[in-house]
Amino acid sequence: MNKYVHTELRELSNEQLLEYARDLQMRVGKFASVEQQLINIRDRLDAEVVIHKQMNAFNERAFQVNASNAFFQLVAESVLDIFEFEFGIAIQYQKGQDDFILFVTEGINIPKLAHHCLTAAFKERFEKQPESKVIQLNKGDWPEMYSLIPFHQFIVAHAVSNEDNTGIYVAGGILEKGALNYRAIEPQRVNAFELFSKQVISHFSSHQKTFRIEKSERRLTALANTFLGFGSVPLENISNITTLAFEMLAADFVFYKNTGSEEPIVFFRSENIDGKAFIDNGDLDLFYRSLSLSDQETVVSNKHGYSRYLINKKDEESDSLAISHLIRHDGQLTGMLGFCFSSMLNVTQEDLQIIGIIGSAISVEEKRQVVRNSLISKNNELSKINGELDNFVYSVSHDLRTPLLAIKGLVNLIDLYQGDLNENEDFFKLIASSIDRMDNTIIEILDYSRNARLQVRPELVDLEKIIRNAYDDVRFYANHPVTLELFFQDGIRFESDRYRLNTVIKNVIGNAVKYADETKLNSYVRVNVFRSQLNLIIEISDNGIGIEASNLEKVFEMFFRASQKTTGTGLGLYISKEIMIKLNGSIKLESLVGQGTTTKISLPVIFLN
Amino acid sequence: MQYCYLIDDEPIFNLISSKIINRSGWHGEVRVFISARTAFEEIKMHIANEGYLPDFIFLDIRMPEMDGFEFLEELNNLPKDPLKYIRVYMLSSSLDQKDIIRSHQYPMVKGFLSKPMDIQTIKDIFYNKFTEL
Repeated sequence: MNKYVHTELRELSNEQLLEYARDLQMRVGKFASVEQQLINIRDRLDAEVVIHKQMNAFNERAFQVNASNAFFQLVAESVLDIFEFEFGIAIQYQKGQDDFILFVTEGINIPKLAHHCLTAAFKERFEKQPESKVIQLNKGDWPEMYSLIPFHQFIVAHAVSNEDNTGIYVAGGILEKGALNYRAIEPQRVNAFELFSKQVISHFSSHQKTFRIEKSERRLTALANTFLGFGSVPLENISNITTLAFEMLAADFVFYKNTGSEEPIVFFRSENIDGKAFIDNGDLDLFYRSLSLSDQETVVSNKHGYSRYLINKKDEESDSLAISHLIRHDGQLTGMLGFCFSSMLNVTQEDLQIIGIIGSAISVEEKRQVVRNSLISKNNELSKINGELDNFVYSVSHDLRTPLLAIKGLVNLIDLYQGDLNENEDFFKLIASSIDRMDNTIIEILDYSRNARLQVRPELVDLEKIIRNAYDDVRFYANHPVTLELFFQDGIRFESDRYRLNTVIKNVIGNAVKYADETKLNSYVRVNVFRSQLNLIIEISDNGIGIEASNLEKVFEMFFRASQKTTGTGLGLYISKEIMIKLNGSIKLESLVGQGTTTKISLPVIFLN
Repeated sequence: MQYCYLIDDEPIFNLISSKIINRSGWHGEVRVFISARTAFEEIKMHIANEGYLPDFIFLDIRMPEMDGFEFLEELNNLPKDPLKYIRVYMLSSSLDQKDIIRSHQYPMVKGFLSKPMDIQTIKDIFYNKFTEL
């Protein structure tokens, strides 16, 4: 080309050359402008690439956030990072509700009280321009906002999720005082901002699902901990439940009423709630009465019982009450648990489920306590019986060994005193009486076991014969003469358990003879038998040594011996009392030391005349 | 002159023990008590009057009103010095290890014998040859 130009230029005139140079100059100028345009486009694309890269980075971080507050903090801060703004704001709200989550970056200072104004201002602005998704404003365009944030340029995007009934506002901008340091907001950034707000809402929706699951998890953990904490005192359980009710269910107050108690126990979330007036005015009562089966009702049940909860939901704005009836498995109402909410709007279906579960858990707990108490009392009874049995074995083995060891000793003595016939005769007598004693102990143990084991068998009883035989049996052992005086009401014929009655008479008359007062000349045992309505009365009195007042109750205890005068087993009166219990009768002692003892037996029998 | 107390609520054992002591060749005086309380009052009286205290006591455990251990407890509350020569032997039908261990907690208890008393043991005790197994 140079060659061509050189040849052509030689042939051209000066004018032509000049014109040609101007033309070239113009062309170069055009190229420079195109080049500049290309550079601008390249820069813009670069900037957009940066924004998109940063939006990607935001997406990645957003996935890792697991709480609402942290998420909106990230959104507000990302407004600064991505769009090179001086301040960032993120707000989340539920449709139809006043509360919201708001986060503002550190660049501006908005007092907490103004958060509400800020949110309201955004809402109002977008209601005026329902079609727009993003609004860009300059200083003079929005004086109300300028009073809150002295902005130079301001941009707000609004995105809504119909699925969750949730909306978000994302805002960012440049403050007036720093305006010179920042680029003016160009349309590309406005577009990217709108895109960003859409990303935020889609992130939030997917997070919401996760948040909900986590919230349920937290509640269930709290619920589980509450039930784990169930102790033996119902009131403590109630206070656990109230903590749960206040923290998890946002109830204003909780009451618990056992069917046995007059007044409900009421717990309030805070002192500010004028619940006392509520209770005092009888509103609670009224409230409860106003509930009917036509109200929303749900039943939560398990194998131990169920709770039915009723929800008063007349008007969503007013106070509402959820009551859980505590019902045992047999259908018996045991109490009720109520949760009061300042607005039903705050109560979700899940809350109601939890209330139902708490109710049924209390039912279970109450049942458990009933069972537990009965187990404790049975256990105590068994411990007592076990102790008696131990004592029984110890005493019986002692009482059986004593005469046996005596016999052993006497046999040794017979060996030592060989040839001494007088002594030996005494030893043989003592051996015989030891054997008798051993036999008596065995008989008494048999009496005891027979009474415990055998059925009561009524048959015709010859009581007079029983009394005389008992007297004759014991009389020969006594060192001191005791006479029998018997007064028997005429014509009494009756049926009773002959064997048991015989045992009682034998023991009582035996005592009267054994514990006779040897200082008295006219020792007697006086027996009086008569009928009193449906009962047979047997009174056995003596003028023996008597029993000390302090021992009068103890003589009926197993193996108790009030006296060391004779060698009783300590079983006789114990067995007699056991027998009287078995026969539905009674045996009572009256005694004065030195005067004598009277035993009164009252026995229901079958009279034959 | 030596004294020996037999304390048992069962007269038959007191009789057996005193007959055996009689045959052991020991020349002391045997005193019989069917109540530990009475024996205790007797000892208290002798301490007060500086009278003769027993050299040997054969003591049953299971007795009404005051049992063998209660008797030992009461003795512990008396002045120690006059009682230091008293040698107590438990003479019981108890087979309970707890009773044996418990009786050895009292320094004046020198042995735990099973009823009935036998002549060789009594000779060993009186002639200081007794050693517990």
